[in-house]
Amino acid sequence: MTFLKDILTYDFLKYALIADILIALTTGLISPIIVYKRLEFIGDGLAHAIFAGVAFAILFNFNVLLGSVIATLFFAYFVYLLSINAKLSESTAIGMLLPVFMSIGVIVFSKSPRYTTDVTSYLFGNILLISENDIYFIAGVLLFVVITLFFKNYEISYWLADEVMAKFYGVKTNIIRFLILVLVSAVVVSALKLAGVIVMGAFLVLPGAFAKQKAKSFKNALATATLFNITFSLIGFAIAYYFDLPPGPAIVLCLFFAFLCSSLLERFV
Amino acid sequence: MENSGFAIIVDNLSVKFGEVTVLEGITFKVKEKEFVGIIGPNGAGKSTLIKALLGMIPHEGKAIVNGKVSYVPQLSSFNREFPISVYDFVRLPIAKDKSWKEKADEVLEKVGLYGFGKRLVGELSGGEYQRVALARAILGSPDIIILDEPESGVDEMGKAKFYDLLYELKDKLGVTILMVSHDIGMVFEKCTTVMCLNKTLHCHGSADDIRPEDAKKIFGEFDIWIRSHSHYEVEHSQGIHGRDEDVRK
Repeated sequence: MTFLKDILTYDFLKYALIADILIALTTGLISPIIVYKRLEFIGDGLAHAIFAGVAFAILFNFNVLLGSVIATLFFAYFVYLLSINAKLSESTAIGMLLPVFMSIGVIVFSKSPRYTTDVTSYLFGNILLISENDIYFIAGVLLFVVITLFFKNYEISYWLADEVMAKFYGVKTNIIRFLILVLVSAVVVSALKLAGVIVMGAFLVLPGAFAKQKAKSFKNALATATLFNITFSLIGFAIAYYFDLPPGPAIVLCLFFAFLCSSLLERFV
Repeated sequence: MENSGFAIIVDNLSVKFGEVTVLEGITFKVKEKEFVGIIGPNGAGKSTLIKALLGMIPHEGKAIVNGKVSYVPQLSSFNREFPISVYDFVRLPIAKDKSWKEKADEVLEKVGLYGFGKRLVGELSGGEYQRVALARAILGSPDIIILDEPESGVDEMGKAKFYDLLYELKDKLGVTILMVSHDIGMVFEKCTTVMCLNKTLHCHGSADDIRPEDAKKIFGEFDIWIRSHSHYEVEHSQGIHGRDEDVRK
């Protein structure tokens, strides 16, 4: 009861809970796409790239969301440049750029007077950072994800199943890939304050990995991942509240524990 | 008018990947309703030729495909982990057609898989998958079907059935078929025309006219072993036991 009372009393807790639910919905919807298309590394790379953008935004005192978006755009552009001009694979380019963006972030953060607090908040998430505007942004991202999946469901599912044949029969696979990368970037930016850079990868992968074990169709995978994510994100959030833990890592451990139990049950029962 | 009656016309086609020439000076014509099998060793450029014909990769020279073309790629292009039903898999060429379900059922019946619509593609056997891929190809009502090693991952019985089905469809639907294959025996047995490819086109003609020596040239260290009049098999010379005496010389 204290939990519910505190949510109604404290705005920061209310925002955090709403953000948790909205982020669970968005990551639940995007995660199966990431898992089936094996884009896990891209998601992780984008999450780390944001760190540099956040550092600049804090040091030069401009909007953190704007800093994050600019950083993801730079990251995506450099991945593209390296993979085209230096003839590196996308994964190699991401593997190179991920620590580069992270290092830039750490160096820029080191000039901030609140170095430790800021770094920790953005590395592991901090619900105190979530504002009303962030809720609107996350809701906007969720709407963007839902609309895209509603109108492009078949094209996206065929792109995931057989990209060669999707392209052969006229599906604009380059546009689908670009759209998905934009969606992943938007989701990563929206989840930053709750999840943090380090554990973001788990938010993007665990719901999809769970759904992959159960799903009998793409729509079923989206629904399963979202339901799984909502349920265990809320449990993780409540655990974080009662034991005074950072919510991002608490939610991730909760999701992972549920995934592990489900895998073991599937194997032995 | 010299080109009328031909489904595919290829003239002096070459493909280079950087400094490496994969195909050089390929010239041939495929008549309408012909059933052509392309054979050649690994790395001969068979799949590259198909991709050039389909406009998937850049090339020099002419590659004209007259009519609507469908394509059955290698099994590896499909992500078997993805949960897509046979219905959704097959309806791609006519995805926006409101009567796609009836049409999908029709083609599934033609390939002997009526009632498979709701099953997951990832749970099908290799042979069933190839039939489903063929159903998708014919759903678009093509004039030409191009297949890239459709028998890979399919057992011997499945292969024979698949080739019989192709032959039947060729007659029923009046389509031209161009197929890349590793199975020389099946190609000589079922195809009306055979092409031997290894960077350049070494031989091209009816299955009865091509001499084994022509095919043998392109396989280098391999030997051609003929089990019967129309059944060829390529094996590494060290792996052949009790070679028949009826090898054509």
